Amino acid sequence: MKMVALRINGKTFEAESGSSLGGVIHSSAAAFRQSVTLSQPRGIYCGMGVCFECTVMVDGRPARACITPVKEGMSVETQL
Amino acid sequence: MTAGALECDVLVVGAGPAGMAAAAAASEVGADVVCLDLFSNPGGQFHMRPVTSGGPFDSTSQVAEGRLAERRCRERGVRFLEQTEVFWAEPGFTTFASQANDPVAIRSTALVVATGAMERALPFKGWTLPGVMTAGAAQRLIKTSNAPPGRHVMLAGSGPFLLAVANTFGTAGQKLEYYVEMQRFRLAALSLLLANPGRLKEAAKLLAGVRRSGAKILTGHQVVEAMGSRQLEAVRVAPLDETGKPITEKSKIIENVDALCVGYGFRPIVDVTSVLDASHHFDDTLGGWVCSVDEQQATSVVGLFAAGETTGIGGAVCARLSGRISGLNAAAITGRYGRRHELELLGRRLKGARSFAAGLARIFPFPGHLVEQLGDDEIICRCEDVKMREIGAAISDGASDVFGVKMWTRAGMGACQGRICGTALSEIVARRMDRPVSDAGYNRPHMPLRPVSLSTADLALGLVSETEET
Amino acid sequence: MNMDLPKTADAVVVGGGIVGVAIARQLARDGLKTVLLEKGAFGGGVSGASLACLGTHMHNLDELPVLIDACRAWKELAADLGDPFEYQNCGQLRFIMRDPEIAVAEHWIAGETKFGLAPELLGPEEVRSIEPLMTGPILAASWSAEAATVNPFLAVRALLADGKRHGLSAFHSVPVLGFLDDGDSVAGVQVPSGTVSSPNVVIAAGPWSSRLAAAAGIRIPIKSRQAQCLASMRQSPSVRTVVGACESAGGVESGYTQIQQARSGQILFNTVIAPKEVPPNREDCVNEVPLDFVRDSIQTLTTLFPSLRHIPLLRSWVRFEATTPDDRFLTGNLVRPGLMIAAGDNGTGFCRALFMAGLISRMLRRLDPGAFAFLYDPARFSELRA
Repeated sequence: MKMVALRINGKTFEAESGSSLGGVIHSSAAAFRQSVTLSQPRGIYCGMGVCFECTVMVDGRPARACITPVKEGMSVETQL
Repeated sequence: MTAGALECDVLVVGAGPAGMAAAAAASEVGADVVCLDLFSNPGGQFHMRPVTSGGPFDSTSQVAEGRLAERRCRERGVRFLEQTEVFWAEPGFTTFASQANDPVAIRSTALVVATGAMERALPFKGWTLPGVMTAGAAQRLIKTSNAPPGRHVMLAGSGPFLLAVANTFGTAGQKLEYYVEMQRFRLAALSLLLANPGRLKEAAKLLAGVRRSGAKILTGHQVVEAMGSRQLEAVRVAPLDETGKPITEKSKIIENVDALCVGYGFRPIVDVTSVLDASHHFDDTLGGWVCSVDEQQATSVVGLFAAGETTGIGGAVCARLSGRISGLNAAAITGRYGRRHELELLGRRLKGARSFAAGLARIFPFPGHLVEQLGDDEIICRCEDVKMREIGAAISDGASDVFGVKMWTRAGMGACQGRICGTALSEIVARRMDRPVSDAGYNRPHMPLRPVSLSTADLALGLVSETEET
Repeated sequence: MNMDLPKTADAVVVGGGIVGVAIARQLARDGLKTVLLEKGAFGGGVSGASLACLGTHMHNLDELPVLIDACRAWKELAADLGDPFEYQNCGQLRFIMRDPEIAVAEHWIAGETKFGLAPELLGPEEVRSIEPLMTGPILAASWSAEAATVNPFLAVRALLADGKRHGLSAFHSVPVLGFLDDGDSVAGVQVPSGTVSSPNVVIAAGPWSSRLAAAAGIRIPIKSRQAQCLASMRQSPSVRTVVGACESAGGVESGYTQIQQARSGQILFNTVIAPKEVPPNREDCVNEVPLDFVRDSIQTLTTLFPSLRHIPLLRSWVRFEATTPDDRFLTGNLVRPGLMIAAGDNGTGFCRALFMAGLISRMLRRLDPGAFAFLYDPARFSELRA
């Protein structure tokens, strides 16, 4: 079981290499971002890359957390 | 295996049970095969690789079968492309994709589309709260990150998949507190299983797994509201009357629920087959819009085959059989033939498997009527925050189909391009216009099939020198 | 729905895009019992796919008074109806990347200034003060401050709603199959569920107008031209104006570009280097964008706005513009008594829609059509003289 360290909103997290970033964030907070016009809190919904509700910034580019495997040194920013 | 321009005999889109069966079959008879998939490892949803090796999932037959299928493919020289998402496909065939933002272009003589299924989602009051997710999302969280969906989990909706998800909780040693199924299915299920004795063992195992989970089981019940201020906190559940409508006076609030995992079944993912102009038909028992295929798993487009859930929701057995048939026939297009006798045998077995799946679908009909319970304030399109009220107003103003509603409300114009709200929109429009759901229209996919960065798209398209449209 | 279809009307308008809806609304407001028939969804053919830019810059000097009037009409309409269609007075920049284009821009500016407009030629730093992210290698750009955009879907919806408030009857999903004859005159239309008799039928069906006119025995010089567009996912404010290419005297070969950011935040953009032949009846198929167009558009956008090169592409669409040999609308009487036409948008029809509505209404009521009606008279083509 290989562990990697990643930063989420400036805080360091440890997770198993290859595990889903969505799961790592969800374990810490169910809300990832705000909806576009009503600014409602949103989190994981479909878990397979179709709904885009789990969109976060990974190393400066938008990514769906649920289909992103964690990597050593990854830098993640969520909206919430 | 990394990005760039590739050529092969057969490209298989999707590395789930159907895709891997197709890839293995085609390569067995000598075709050069590339198989691509969105996830980090082959397996798709059904054979999802757990993140922890040596953990409780490793010993499940699902994972073992998945590893075996992958090994079979690799031994025969199938090239796998992981984390690869198709954003366009041209006839003939050239398929363009993004591999974690790197450009990919694949030329192939034949194409097998085994893109699987997605949740057939329906909105309900409070469904957008963090903590409310699909049943599939719950299963994936457990398998791919050891993360529990929550500390107090309710699984709800309708369909055989809920049994599978409940078992996933059990296998992972995670607590499931409530199992809420709309149907009361004892008698119908019994007769189906008696007609298909080969499935008895599997069914008994699944049911035992649910009981072992310790969850409180409520059949003939439905979730009517997810409650909470900034995230899920409680769920209101109601029993159903003989017509299937919730008896609101008898509803009760179940407090202290922090994860609600809802599933009503699946619908085929038909994006690639749609843009290649293959024929599709609507079949509510098969998940909605389905790619039409013949006994060779051939679509209406020469050289284009489809297998698995893409051709109608039927489960893993149908996926493997149809996948193998499609792979053999795709290879035949490139001049490499299998044994005719085997194809006939596979075809007969597939018929049987499809018949079982159809029986299962009849026990758990898709509850499209749930849209009738939606109040004006309910969010229908999550991506664009469009409420039921706005959709109703658009129809009153003259929007006549899903396309018209989209133009005037932006429902279906957001990131997911109507994949999540599309089912509900079709049901809502159909009921308002008093037309069948298949007539109400749907959001046809266009280039790009999934969002792709401008730079990646430009580079991928540039990998192929001739991209002239006929 | 079709059971409510009136048997008679003072006027029937065929085609529910922005032009047809504008005309139908105008006729209803002017007191005529009007029926609007659309074969599909309102605005779903061409209008909804339009970038709906309302401007006077680098279009057509002959039409300039009309364009000025047309743009003012949109601005007033937005105010009258309480801005239901995201009217944005964002201005237009036309970028110049090659030296000969500077003289072209100055020529247009001189011509437009004579009509009391005030376009300017700006250097790169001035351009960046208006459009900060447009840091690509441009030599200059012309600037027209009063250009505006609207949301094309909502514009169709708002005009339709206003028409209905004034008694307009509008029907979607009703195709016109043919015309009723009264000797040489047109006396109404045939639809699947029956007929609507009317002494005035107006064809406002964009690229489908040729087929309809043919059903009335008339050949019109309207041909379809394919146009397309791309859209990104929602972005934070990045493009403030409508950005276009300098309109060269060389015509379409010099390249056509339009880039703008919608109220939703989506960046809409397209660049066409060379026009494409359109096989017959393509307007009725689902069409996909040509891949070389995708590359040209992405390259133009990211050359002008380098910081946008990683934004996600979300959607593409194809529409068909109705073109005429002289790039101008056909608006007016169409050979046979009782038949009129308002079609031939040539890619810039949205702007002119309200003007055409006024023109048709005045002609239909036998009022003075105004000094510029002659520009659009179908009879300017010899085959369309009665």
